[in-house]
Amino acid sequence: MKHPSIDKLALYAGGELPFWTRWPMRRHVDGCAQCREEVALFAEVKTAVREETADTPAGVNWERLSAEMGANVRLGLEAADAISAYRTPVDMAPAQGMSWRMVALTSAFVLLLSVGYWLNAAKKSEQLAAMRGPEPFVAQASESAVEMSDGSKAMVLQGPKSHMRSAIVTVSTTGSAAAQYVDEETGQVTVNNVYVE
Amino acid sequence: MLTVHMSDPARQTTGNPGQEAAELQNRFIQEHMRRVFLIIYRIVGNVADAQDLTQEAFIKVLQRSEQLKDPEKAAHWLSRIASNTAIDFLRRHGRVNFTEIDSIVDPLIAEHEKNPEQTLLRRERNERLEDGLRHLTEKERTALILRDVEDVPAEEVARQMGCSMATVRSHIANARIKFRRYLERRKA
Repeated sequence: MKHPSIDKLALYAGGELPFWTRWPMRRHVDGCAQCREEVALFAEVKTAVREETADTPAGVNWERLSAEMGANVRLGLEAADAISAYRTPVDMAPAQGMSWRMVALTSAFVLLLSVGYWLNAAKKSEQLAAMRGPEPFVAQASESAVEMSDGSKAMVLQGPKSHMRSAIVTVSTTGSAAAQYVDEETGQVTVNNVYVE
Repeated sequence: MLTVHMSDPARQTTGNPGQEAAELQNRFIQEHMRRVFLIIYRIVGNVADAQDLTQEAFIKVLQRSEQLKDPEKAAHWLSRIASNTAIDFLRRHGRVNFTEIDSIVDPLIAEHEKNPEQTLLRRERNERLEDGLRHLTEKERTALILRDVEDVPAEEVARQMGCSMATVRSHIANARIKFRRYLERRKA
């Protein structure tokens, strides 16, 4: 017959084995005198430990020790009470409560300001864009070229680069610019006109 | 003064809530002091540490006295706090040193005991127990005290000790085997 290990018998005696282990163990112990005796010995150990630990350590004056401990406990409670009473009104409870409310209030205020500022800035930007309108066209004429630009783009009509004898440049207030170039060799005249519409 | 809200049908009202609370606290301390001290003493192994830790456990419990709705639960809770306090102490200090009773200094030593024969028997039993407990590891001893002396369910022992059920079973089995062998050796 195979006996259970001593560990299992020790646990069986104290009722710590799980159900699925305890049940076959009970069957074995019920039919095995040797294991039954082992279990009984463990039960005796348990009783001995329980009885012996119930004694106050020998030589200890319990009345005096317990009175001392009781007084210290009461003193500790009084001290804890005094500390909490000192902290609660000023440092702890209101500070914690206020800080929570203050954080919420401040966050809401900052959010409101941010949204207001953002909406206002966007509106202003639209208004400025509307006021500014498109960039004006500019017509310019010089001895070498006639140019028309709107600030970002430009169109340039270059005059002849060689044998240029003279150039007549005119700019009118109605939005046109003109340049006349005369070639020295051929006497040919080149006229460039640009109009702004 | 902190208040203790324990439903005790036997208590008599004095009309002064502060005084009643103080009386309840005193009664609670007196009823459980010895039991709590012994749990802690058997775990940590010396009177001086057990005294400090017993006081600490009572202060912890009585500071949260609003949770003590009935005396039975309060006592159970106190036991848990007591064993946890002792286990935490062992974790922090990592040592157990069973004080030789002869080395305990006044005022803890009884100046004289009424029955010398009874004293001698008690001393022998104490020495046997403490010598036996000294053969166990810290965890085996804690598991044995909680399970076999305090009747704490094994699951709760595992929870309090912060280990698995399998580990706690192993500690309990080892403790019982070692203690049994120790007693057998002494008898022999």
